[in-house]
Amino acid sequence: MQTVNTEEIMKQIRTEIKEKGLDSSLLSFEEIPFAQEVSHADSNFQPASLQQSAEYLNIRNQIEAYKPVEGNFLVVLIKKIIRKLVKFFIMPIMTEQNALNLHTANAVQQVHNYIQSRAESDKIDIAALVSRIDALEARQAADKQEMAALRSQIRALQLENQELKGLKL
Amino acid sequence: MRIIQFLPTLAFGDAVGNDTVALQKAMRELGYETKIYAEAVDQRLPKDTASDLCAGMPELNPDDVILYHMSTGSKLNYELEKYPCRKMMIYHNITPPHFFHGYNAQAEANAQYGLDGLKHLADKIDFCFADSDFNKSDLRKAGFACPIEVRPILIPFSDYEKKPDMHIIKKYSDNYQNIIFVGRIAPNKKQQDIISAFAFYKKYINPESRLIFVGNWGGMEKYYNRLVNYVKALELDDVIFTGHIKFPEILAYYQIADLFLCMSEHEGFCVPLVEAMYFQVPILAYQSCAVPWTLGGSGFLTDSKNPAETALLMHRILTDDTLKNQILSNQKERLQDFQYEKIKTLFAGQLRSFLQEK
Repeated sequence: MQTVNTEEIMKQIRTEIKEKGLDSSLLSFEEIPFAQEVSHADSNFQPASLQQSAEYLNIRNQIEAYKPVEGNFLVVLIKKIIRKLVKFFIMPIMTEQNALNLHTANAVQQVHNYIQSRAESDKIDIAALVSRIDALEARQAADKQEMAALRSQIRALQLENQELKGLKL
Repeated sequence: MRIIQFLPTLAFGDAVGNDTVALQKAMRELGYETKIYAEAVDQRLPKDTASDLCAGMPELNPDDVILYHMSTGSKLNYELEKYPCRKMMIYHNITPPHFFHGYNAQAEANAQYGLDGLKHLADKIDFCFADSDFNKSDLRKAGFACPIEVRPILIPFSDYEKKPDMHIIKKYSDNYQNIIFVGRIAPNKKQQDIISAFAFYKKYINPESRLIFVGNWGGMEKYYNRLVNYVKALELDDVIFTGHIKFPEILAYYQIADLFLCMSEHEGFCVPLVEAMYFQVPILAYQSCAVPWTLGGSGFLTDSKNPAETALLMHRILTDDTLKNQILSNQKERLQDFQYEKIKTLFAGQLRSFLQEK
């Protein structure tokens, strides 16, 4: 590896800042207030937002009933007993919820796939239209050139005609 | 003997998911019988990549080996001990919870749950792989006394040879200097320090420059909104947040990048640094966490977060061809250490030495 003299470079840069009197004080990030609660009710369609939600749902659609219990021995024991007692009630709900989540995730993914495939086909359509416009523009330019050539031919013929008329007279 | 890779979530395209899938391929090439089990498998992965852990684990024998990927809080951290076989763990690191404070209470709680799980596992694992020296020292601090070997993440470089998005290349291939950072929008990555350095650079040094953050902000909307407000308050133009984008678009951003600027304060490995090496983008990075290890003497490390100093450093790297070439040459050399075959050989040796121990 080649040696990069970082210390020397940093020294030179610090000297440069001092000599030029560069003011490094900027508005600090700490002065920016924390944003308010994030609203997902934006009326505009945001493809990136849909993609992120679909991705999140893809990965995190299964919830867990299990959470580690904390506290002293007695508290842990009581919590574990309660957990055993309510297991028969919680587990079927969790299974149903997980099934619902899975279908929701799938539905969102399908919507996302559909929008993406539409966007892809739109892209292809646009590319085809752009190339057609390019071809038409090229044809128009060629036609213009041809017309200009014809005009100059007409002018030449008109001049020739005038000359011939002059000769006749 | 089977080697079962075991993890809470197998995601598509993230560092842990890529590593798990790449390891499966490598272990099969080495002749091992292996399979991945995960509680949640990203639906975008090919169907036979992994089995659903909720459908049940196979019967494990004492001869079998679990290779557990540890990167998050999960009940699996407390269930691993019940399997009657030898256990190896790959530690990808857990972001300290305090970074998420005020931005995402769930992420903060999950990170704490993960760190508690890590401590719980300290005496239940027989052998550990760590993605970096930094991760190894984190494991020691968490109480792991078992052998720990450093093994960098397996990166599928062949993916980077795919065609980049030409629209992006065309759009940003102008006379502007493109400064990029690739990675999730997350408080531990300190994107605000990149913004402040860029603000100074654009204002006093080069107005013809743009800053591009490539990465999604899912789950970190509050932090993202605060960053956007910071950019507005600084009256900065040409700061782009791409959000989640497709892989060819990521490749395109690396292609148009003139400098990779990283001010992160917590990384377990930082794959984008290796990606920047691959695309020959000079790296300027803050000296913290696993970053110095991953750079391995390449790139340019700074211990300063002063915006003026960082901005002048950016300018120096972008304009001093000798320095830039030195950095790129060192990065090219370091990149060799992350080649698939090299990591695979390293992993094979470490795996063999563990499996031979009885």
